[in-house]
Amino acid sequence: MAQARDPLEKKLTAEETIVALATPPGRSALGIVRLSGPRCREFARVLLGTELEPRRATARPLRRGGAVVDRVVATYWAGPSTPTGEDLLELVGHGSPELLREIVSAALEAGARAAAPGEFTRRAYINGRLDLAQARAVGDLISARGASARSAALRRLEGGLSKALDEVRAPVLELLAALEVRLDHPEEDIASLSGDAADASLKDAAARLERLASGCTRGRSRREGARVGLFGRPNAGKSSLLNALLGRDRAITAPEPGTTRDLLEEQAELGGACVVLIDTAGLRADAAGPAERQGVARAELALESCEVAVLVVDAARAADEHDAKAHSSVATAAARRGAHLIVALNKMDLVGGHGAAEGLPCSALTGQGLAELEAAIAAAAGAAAADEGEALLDDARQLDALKLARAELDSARAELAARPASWEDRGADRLRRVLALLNEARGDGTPEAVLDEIFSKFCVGK
Amino acid sequence: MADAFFPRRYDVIVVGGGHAGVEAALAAARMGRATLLLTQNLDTIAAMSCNPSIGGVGKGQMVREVDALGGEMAKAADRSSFFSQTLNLSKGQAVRSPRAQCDKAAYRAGQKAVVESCANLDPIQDEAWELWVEGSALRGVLSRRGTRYEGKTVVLTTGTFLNGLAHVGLKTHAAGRGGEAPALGISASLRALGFAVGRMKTGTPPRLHSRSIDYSKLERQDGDLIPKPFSHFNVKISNPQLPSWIAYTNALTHRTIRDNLKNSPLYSGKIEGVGPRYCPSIEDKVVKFPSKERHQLFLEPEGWNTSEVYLNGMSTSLPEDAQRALVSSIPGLENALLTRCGYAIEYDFCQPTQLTDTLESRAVPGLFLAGQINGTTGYEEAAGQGLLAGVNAALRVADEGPFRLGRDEAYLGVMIDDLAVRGVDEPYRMFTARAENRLSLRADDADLRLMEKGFALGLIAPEARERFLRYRDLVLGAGEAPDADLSPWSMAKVLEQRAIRSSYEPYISRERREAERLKAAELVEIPPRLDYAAIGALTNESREKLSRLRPRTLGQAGRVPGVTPADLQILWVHSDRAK
Repeated sequence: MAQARDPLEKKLTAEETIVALATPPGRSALGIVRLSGPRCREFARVLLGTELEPRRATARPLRRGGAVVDRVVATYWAGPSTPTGEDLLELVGHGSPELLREIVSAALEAGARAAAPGEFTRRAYINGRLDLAQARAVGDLISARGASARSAALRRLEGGLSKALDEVRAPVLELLAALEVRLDHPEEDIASLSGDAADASLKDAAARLERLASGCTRGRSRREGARVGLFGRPNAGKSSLLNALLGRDRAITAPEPGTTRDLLEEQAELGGACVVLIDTAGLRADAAGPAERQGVARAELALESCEVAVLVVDAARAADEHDAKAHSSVATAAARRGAHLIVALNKMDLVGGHGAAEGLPCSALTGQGLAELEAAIAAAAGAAAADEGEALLDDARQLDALKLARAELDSARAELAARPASWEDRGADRLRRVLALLNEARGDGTPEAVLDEIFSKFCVGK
Repeated sequence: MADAFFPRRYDVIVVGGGHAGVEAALAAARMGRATLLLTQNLDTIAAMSCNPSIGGVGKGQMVREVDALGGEMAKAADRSSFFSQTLNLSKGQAVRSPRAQCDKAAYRAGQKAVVESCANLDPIQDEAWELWVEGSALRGVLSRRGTRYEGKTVVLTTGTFLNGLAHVGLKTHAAGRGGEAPALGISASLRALGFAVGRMKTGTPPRLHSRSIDYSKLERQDGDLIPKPFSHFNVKISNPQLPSWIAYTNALTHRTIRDNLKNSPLYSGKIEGVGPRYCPSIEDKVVKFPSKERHQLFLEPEGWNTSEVYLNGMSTSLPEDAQRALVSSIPGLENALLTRCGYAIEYDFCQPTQLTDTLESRAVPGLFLAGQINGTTGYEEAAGQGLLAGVNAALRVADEGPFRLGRDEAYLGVMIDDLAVRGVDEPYRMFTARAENRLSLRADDADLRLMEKGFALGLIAPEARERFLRYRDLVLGAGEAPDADLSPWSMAKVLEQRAIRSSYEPYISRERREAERLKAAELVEIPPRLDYAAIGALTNESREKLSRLRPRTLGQAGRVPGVTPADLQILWVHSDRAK
């Protein structure tokens, strides 16, 4: 066993207690939420209303805000003889994503912090529970997760959350720039900022954040499960296949190409795996009108965010160069992102047995080969499910950040009310934090952005 | 002709006698090192080549910091100021900033006298031509006259002189500062040593003859009724005060500018150097903000015994006749005589990411760069860097550990970190917006933040420190003491400081907590020879940037644009503690 590292680095892990989901979400019999850090015992008391004896599994109802969330089996271990070298609390609940998220949220509200990627391992290393070689292996793991983090970010992008965040961020940035320019350039003849206007924009931003946070909670369950996209040339039968897999007519289908324009998302259980099936517009470079072109753009975006890409090929038609191009672009994107690729050779009923191309022969019309396709998707989605755990935690962190940002906006308003004549430096401090939190929720941003805003809006300097 | 060897050997050779050079030389000499100040012209030591003022928002805080660390700039300003203002007086204490207009001649003369009377410091007039490097070892400096000056360390503070090229309209001439000669040798020498050398641009407005100005058409502006000294060690300013005057540009001025843009070196593409966004020429202001109907101008006297007036806000490089037309379009200046034309100046700079966070070159150990050569602008930014470079050169000579300031400790720390970690893409000027801990980095508490450090370096006298400690204990504790024991501090200052601290309390604690949290990452040192190429898990962009910038700590790596949290975690694991 490696030696414990020096106290300074131990301090790096801070006195914070972290929480994360330890099992892949999706629906399963059981799910585990794990906490590590000095306040584990205290959190157990808050969440379960009882003092836990070390190393003894205890069944207790877990409460969030007074209401029972789930009946869990909780076990507490005292550090340092634990995998992380710290106090550890494990909560085993029922394997429903909604319940597990509630448990994580309850822990966050009790004062835990959402764990950063790889943080459990990092703590283990710092506390001498892992040696360097093992820890380096974790480093590689973290980078492998980069791909899924990116797809999670893109998923949000697609869900419009990013746009909604921008809508909050823009007025905050504008107000901050207005404050900063007056603080840094008093010699310029810039009119002073009206307190009423500032208060109105703070209030407006707070209201937007409020809406965003509640929308976030509601919208998340829809996104549960691995994302499975159906891609291919127009008229390959993607929508028919979606309907066949769902067992009902969800998508409009028609013999003419380009029927599907918008993305269509449906939650489904395929071969026991919880997935989101996405029907997309056919990929073609010569899309007919603006609506179809936009449909193609969305399909390309969906390609960047799915864990499983199903390439639907019209087996009844000889492949031309456009087919080859569309197929290779799907395959390339999937390979680049580490997404699973499944080739479905559709319309086998029209082919009459022959099937030269590689892939799963099937027919949306007759149901031929659908069971095999389902099984292949389920296997791929099951392998992808671990990535979803990260996404779920991302969501928890995101919601955390939005709530804190909201509180900062309220404090800024309080500052403005308390000292209307000289609130700017304190108010700016609050707004800087709001921006940092919004950037955290979004995953980008620098202080330079503020300076850029200043220089584009104001003529500064002499 | 064989080179002549200068008879004395030095610990620290400072090249350049501007604001950076003076602070560097004084700091090194006061720390007991044999120091040489090499300048092209001993008569222009500490010349204020542009505006006749010291301080401003952000900059004023830095001058206070330089003073708390035992630097000279604040005292020089107090000696020569004739108009003092606390900027942002109506706003929160954290952003109140001192600024003073100074008599240029008095400022210069004062600094020259300080330099001349400083023990261990030899001021010599000669032009440094080449860095004297043998193998990879720095030996000193070779002058244009062929004299070899031997020194263990060299601090380059060459300002805008390196290959300086002044523009007035489409005419150009090689120049350093004002009418002085440029420095031609050093750039080539730096390039030969492998430095990436870039080009920057700055500008200055025309000067007017006071007699030709109709002051009755201008708005008078007076400084603070009771001028507040810049320096912690001065209690009052008794210099005679002078007013400034405010004028405005108008539609005619703007039309004249637009009509002359074809003759502007800025807009005809003649100037390749990057200029600052925040100190724009009047051409820039009019072109980029066409809807603004007028721009404010300040007429500031250049001193007590001169008739020259600085036209603050009218920086321009338009041709001479156009400059005259511009000026005369302004009410009150119809008949103004331009004693000197405005000009733009292009000069060489070295991207400061080639330096460590002590301003020492990574390629040539012992070589320090400070001031405008690092792509900054402003006397105050230069003085701050000069002080830190001088201190670190002195420490290096004695094999003592480096002196660094964190972003949470001082504006000086913010500046050095910005320069060494992020680099510059336009002349760098300090703003309070750059400081994360703005509410803790105030002009009023520079002494509380830094004076003990200045004492530890040997730059603050023990007697002064004793009084400071008394003051500090009173601020932090309770009780009262007779003013006489505290001077130049006072009980009034104690009470004021207590009130400020308590009014910012929740913010200051939060900034301190945040700084503590971040400090952990600043204490994790990345091995200096870490092979980034061998770390497969890093993104290509991060790998390229990190191996070029070589951040010293994990915290610095985190501030490199484009480096992600995942990269940091990987780096952290690789910051192998196995020594």
